[in-house]
Amino acid sequence: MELHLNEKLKDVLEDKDRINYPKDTISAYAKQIEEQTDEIIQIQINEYSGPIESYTSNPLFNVVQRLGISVEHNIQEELGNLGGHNYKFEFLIHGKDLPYYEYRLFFIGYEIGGYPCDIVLEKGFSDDLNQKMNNEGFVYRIDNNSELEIFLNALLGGEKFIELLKQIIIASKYASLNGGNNEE
Amino acid sequence: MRFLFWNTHKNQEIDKYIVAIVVENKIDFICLAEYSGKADNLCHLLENQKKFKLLDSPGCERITIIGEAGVITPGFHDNYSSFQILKNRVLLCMVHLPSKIYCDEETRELVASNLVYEIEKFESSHKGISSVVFGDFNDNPYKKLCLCAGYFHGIPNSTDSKRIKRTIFNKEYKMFYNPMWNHYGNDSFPPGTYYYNSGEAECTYWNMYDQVIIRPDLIECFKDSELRILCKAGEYELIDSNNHPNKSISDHLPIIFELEV
Repeated sequence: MELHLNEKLKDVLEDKDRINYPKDTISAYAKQIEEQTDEIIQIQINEYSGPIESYTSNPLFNVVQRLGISVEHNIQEELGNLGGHNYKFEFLIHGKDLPYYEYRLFFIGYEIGGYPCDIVLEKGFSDDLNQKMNNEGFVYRIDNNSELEIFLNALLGGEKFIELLKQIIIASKYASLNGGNNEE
Repeated sequence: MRFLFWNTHKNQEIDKYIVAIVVENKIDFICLAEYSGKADNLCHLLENQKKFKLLDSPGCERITIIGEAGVITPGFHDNYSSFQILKNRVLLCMVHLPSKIYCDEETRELVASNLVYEIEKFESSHKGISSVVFGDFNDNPYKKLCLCAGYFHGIPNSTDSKRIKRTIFNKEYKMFYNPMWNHYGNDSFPPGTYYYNSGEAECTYWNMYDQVIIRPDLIECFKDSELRILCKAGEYELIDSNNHPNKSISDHLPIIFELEV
């Protein structure tokens, strides 16, 4: 019996564009930040190896405890059946000439298909973003690449993020003028 | 080196009290929570003492750090903490943890366990650097967040804390020594840094929310006798007629301590 899979999968098989995984999109934004700050701001997107379990089968705080971040209690209503993340990354901001400085802006997790993905945002930024996006909570469920871009534009183009970058740049420039690390 | 931590309760007129404390106690390093004064003005008022400067804590708006330029290098930062490396010997972890009023217990515990993770991550990749955590923990030394393994694990007795770590279900948990326990009870006043009559079944009235805890290998550098909870700032009384923190200045009392580094 013929399966006719090539007909049924035609749209996917003929799609020559590489799938944009969330990490790829985020990496592109990271590169922009680095280039547009003359490499004073440096971004690392590191794999995060903490285990994750389904939100529906485990208490909420156990899941996010393994992620090492905090979450609001309404996450189950927001996310429904999550099913776990195969890929997890942390978005870390560093400053040139600040060898120890790091600021973790968010975690991102997704399964093998890429979307939906979940972003767990540092609380100070989630408070700020929630006001703009009429949202609640620390965790954002993103369903496709376009939504991710909208989210990142709001986050990384926002005043709070710009203010953070300014502080890091000033600290970095000061460290550079004073020989980098402090030694007495 | 002498340190001051104070939650200044968003008092915009706090600078003169800070100056009085710094001058009287020869403070080298100032860490403030809920600071609403004018840092430039404060540094100017202190210029006869030292060349104080507002130091960098990018990403942590809850903590203000003032000290001499070039003394510290910024490390990990988040909403509740500022890590700073002092003389490549000590990791200063300044904290202003979330309050029970605004945050549930599970979230507060997550914040604490995440900070402990970051501290241990830094210590394991930078041998020879040990940590001091100080600030407003928004909890008492005998509560889970401050005492238990998996969280700050602050042990009340310095001898026991020199065990360094203990193993529970095959996982190791490093210890801190918490000298704040020495300030409880009738023998010293004040027996805490924050006064609150909760009206609940469990009520100690005085709470030790503002604390300093140190790694056991820094005990020799730490003088227990120099750890003090202040009731006065120079000529100013920080305590009201009821012997409680004067809320017109701040609802918290400041703590000072000394580290030989």
